[in-house]
Amino acid sequence: MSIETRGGPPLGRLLEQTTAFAVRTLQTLRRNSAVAFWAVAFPAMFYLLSVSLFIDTGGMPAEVVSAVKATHAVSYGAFAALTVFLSTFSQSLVADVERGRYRQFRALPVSPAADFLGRFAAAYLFAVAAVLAVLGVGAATGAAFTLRSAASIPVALLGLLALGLFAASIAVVLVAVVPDAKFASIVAVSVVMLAFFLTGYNGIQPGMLAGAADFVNVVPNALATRLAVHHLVAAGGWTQAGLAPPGAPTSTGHVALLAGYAVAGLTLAVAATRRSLYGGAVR
Amino acid sequence: MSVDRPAVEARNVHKAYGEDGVLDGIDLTVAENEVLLLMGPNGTGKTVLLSCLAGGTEPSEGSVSVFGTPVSEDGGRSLSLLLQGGASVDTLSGRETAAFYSRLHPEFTDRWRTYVDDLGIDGDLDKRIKYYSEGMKRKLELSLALSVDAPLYLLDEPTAGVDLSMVQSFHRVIRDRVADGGTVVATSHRPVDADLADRVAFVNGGGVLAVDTPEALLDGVPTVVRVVGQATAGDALAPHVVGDPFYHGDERRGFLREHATLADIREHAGDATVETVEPSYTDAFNYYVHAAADNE
Repeated sequence: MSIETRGGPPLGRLLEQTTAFAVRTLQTLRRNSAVAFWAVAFPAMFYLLSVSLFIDTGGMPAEVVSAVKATHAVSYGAFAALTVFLSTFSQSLVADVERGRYRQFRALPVSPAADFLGRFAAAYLFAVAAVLAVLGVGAATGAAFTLRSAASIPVALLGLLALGLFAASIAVVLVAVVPDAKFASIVAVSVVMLAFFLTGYNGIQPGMLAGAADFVNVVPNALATRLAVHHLVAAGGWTQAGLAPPGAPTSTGHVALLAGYAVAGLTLAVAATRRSLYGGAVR
Repeated sequence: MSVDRPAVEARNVHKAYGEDGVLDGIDLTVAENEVLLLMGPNGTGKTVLLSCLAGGTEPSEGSVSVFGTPVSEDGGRSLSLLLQGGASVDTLSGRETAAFYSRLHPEFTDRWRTYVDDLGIDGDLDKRIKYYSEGMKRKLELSLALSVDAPLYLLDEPTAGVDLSMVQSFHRVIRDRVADGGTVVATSHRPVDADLADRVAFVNGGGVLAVDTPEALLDGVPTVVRVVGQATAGDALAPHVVGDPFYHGDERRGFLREHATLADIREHAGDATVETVEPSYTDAFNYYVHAAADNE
């Protein structure tokens, strides 16, 4: 019997294995009603509660109300995305760790990079759907979205990609370092909530932060959200809208920082997958 | 593949999780194109050993090679591993599970379609696995594991949860891979699986207690004595057998010590029937795992 592999070149095999993990993750995610609730329904309800109960739009002109609602919809969309990238992603890993499937995967000629990239691709698609669902609920309740340019949607998607890679890398590391894998999911949920509130609702209300709020143009969740708001919402003056100071994160430095988060997240996630999940450090 | 190179060679394999030692110096050699059955009590690390042989678990100490290459360097190219529940995800269907594994292993073939047909689950492939019985899961997992065109198959209790009428079908599909030159290492609790084996190894966490052909292992079992008919008569066995007497259904059995006779036992057995029987694989299991050390 031959033991020579008849698979294609490494890149072809990587793509095939990435597709395998992506399809499997999408199949399991869309059949999980708890995931649909926490990643889609909960952020949408959170948005509705906020704009109904916590924002006094009584004295605002109509166009300001629609912009404020749109800004909050983007913020809660980012919350939904963070939930997918951190909580849902870690749950997907934990399920495989707890059922001992990594012993099986380690005995297969599987690329750890394909494992991460496949799961991430599925999570990204799911996150885009979750964001669109929240934006759709926003639009249905009066939020007005305005594209700043033809590049606005690609920029927003790239911002989401950077945020996702960074957050997913944290999910992998949590599963790797938290001694009992199932607690990693609980920690991940806590990180989502902390990231949301400690950055002033993903950076759209820097005025609620006690100290200097410049960091909202630095930390990945707030930076990606504020960049998306800049490109998707005609908020008029950012100061009047409560989005500044600091100003919109539109400089080359801000974009480079997001790209850095993406590269660092990808590098960390693949390294942690290789070392902990495929190196046997996680039982 | 070289004919004089073992398919699997494990040397002094230890595995511990923190303070808990599971394997304590296992040595094992598996020849190419043989079927080796690993039998041992529950919780003695057979699955961990199999996972170490497959490269799915890294030994704390010792070495494992497959076809002369350290298993960590082989990267799973030369083998296919079946772990109970390792391939099954409740929310996926059998067909989706097959599609997943077909993309993972470059040597995956379409043989699984024949095997699921042979094993009688071809009509259940579109059901989600959460609706499968344990036996159906084993059928799917075995079909997928054997669909990889690998020279070595490592199978963790492939017949667990499978009704006796299907066991021969399982053996048949496994023999199909052996006939094609494959080597099989399987774990099992079921004596009927000895029919499949060229050699049987009785193991516990401390090592391989005995390994030989099924016939030679049966030949090595001392005279088996059974006592039937009186609840307390089993006590008459104890002084004259190796190790402790054990239950075999409603009867007590033991392995007659050297120089002991049936008359010695009958003297204290009252009206109970005391007689010798041909050793079964269950007797061999009990002897090599629980009693042989007392006979040395």
